[in-house]
Amino acid sequence: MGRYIVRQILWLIPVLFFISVITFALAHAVPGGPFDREKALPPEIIANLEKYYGLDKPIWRQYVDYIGGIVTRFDFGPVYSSRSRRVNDIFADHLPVSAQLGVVAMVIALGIGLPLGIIAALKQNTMWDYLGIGVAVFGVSVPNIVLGPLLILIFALTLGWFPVAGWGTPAKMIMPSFALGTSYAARIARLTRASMLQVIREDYIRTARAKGLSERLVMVRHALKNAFIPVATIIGPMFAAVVTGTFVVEQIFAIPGMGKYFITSVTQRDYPVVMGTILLYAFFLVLANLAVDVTYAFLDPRIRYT
Amino acid sequence: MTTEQLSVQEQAAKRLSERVGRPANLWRDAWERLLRNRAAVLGGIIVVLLVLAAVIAPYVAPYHYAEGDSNEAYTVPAWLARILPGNIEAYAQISDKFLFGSDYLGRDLLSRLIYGTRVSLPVGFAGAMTAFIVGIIYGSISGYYGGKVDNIMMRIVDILYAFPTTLLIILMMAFFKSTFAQVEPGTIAYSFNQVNDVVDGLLGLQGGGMLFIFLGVGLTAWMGMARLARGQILSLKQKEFIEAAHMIGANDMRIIVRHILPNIIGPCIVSQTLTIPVYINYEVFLSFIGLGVDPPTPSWGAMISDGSRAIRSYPHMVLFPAMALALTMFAFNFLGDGLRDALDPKMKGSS
Repeated sequence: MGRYIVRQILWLIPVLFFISVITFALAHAVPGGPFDREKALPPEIIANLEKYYGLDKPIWRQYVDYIGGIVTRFDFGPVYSSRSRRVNDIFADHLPVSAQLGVVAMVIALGIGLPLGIIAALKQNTMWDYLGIGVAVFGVSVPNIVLGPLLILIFALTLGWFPVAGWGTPAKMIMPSFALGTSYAARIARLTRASMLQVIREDYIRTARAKGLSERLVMVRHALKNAFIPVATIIGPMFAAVVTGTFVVEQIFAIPGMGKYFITSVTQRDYPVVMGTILLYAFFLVLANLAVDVTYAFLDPRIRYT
Repeated sequence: MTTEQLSVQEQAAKRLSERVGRPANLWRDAWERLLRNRAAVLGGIIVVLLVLAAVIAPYVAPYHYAEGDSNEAYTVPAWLARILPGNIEAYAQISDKFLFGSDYLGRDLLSRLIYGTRVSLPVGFAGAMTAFIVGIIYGSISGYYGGKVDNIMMRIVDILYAFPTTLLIILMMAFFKSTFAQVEPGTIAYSFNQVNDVVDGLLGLQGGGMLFIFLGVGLTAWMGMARLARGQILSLKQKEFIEAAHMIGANDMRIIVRHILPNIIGPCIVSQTLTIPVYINYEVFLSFIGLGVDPPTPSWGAMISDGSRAIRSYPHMVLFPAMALALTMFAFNFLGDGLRDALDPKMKGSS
């Protein structure tokens, strides 16, 4: 187990190296510098600017400086469109908002998905089951890009229960988090139901019942823990989907998070911001996948990693 | 419990006896199972209608998708104004001229929705086709030859797989958008643009940059397929009939194409059908954040993006594209689930 984790962590190094090289190469392969204006700047000024930002150095040197800056000083570089702010300032201002949104959405996804799936499986072929499946089918098919505007139309504009947009108060947080979390709640419910149904037919559940354990104990200790194994695998991809989902949901609900800033910087070709965001998010996602792998091994002792 | 099981067995026996004298056929059996699934049939009908709408768009769309009169901008359809009176701007133009209203440039929303199928559906199908072909070839080679080849090929997939797909597509689209924006004749970028014009022309769109979206989706789509195909082949190549084929002197190519592929193609088709909505979603997402098709080519994602900005005053602008997208997603998901259950009954209920 310990060796497995160490090996997975070592495997992160080539992955992160590759991600950073690809990101850096694509961002720098773009023709035209970041200082192309509608009215062309004099070449001397461009040369000065390039010197100031280190863009006159060879490309490998720029890469080393950039990565070195991140690793040693946690400095993601300058923002071309604003002289007074650096990428770190943008992270400091906007990342916490996105993180809040993502965490609340994941809590919703797990908080609704797991119970729904478990109830549907325990009460198979009853009204509860059909309700669960119905909600799951709806949730899986309706992407957040559709759900967001629909929630605004129904609950903010027609019923007036929630504010239309913004962030900061609990009332403002409910709709965006639901828009982001619902589709994963549905996926989790579906998977939990399927895996519960499979587990409760296993011999060891019959054995547990036969030796006279209470139904609650059988379900919680024997069924749930095993049913959760396949569900754990979906949490890695879910983390990725929530991260990119924030790009959409923040735009729809006018939330001042990273997503909205990221999209503006993509359209303005402010590459240090794009690159910094992608690198940071990729790093989180790779870590999340590692965490899922470890959880997986922890939940299922049959898996022996060597 | 026992009576229920018996009756299931009896039914199976009855079905078997009806089939006596008729050779077992994977595709016919699957087709019959599919037809029995009502949700899948409904999904299939909607998919066919959407494809039809894309093909005959010029004949069914009441107006041109890119032309509008700015005097008619933000027209709200009269029937919607009756249903949602409180949500619409007091000074909005209300008219029966456009069934679904018009957008901020006075372009007919219905026509743009219909032409939007020419963006969404090709992306879905092209993504699935690319993933299918590249993934199967890559996966078969890796799985069949095994050893060092397999190790290297799968490590490459592992690394690519670790890269979050959506972020990679965003990055590539940003790269494509700026690299292929303006170019002189004679460069590689110029030839790409020529190919892209052909692709756009084939789809009946005036510009739009569809090739780049195909590239972005295709380049990221095949990894999952390659893993699946490899896994399938690994379990197959130990089987006796493959050994037998080796013994009678069949070469590798023949064994892969004639003996292995027919056996793994079912799960591969199922996995790609289930992924079509994902590819459609990628395009919608890209167009939503402004990295998808170029205006004035209509994309549902761009329409939702425009509409969500005007949602307080003109809800029709976001309502109809959102509904169209949701309907498409339902249709493909139902059809995909039905196909999976039909082609591989063992997988039923899993997701």
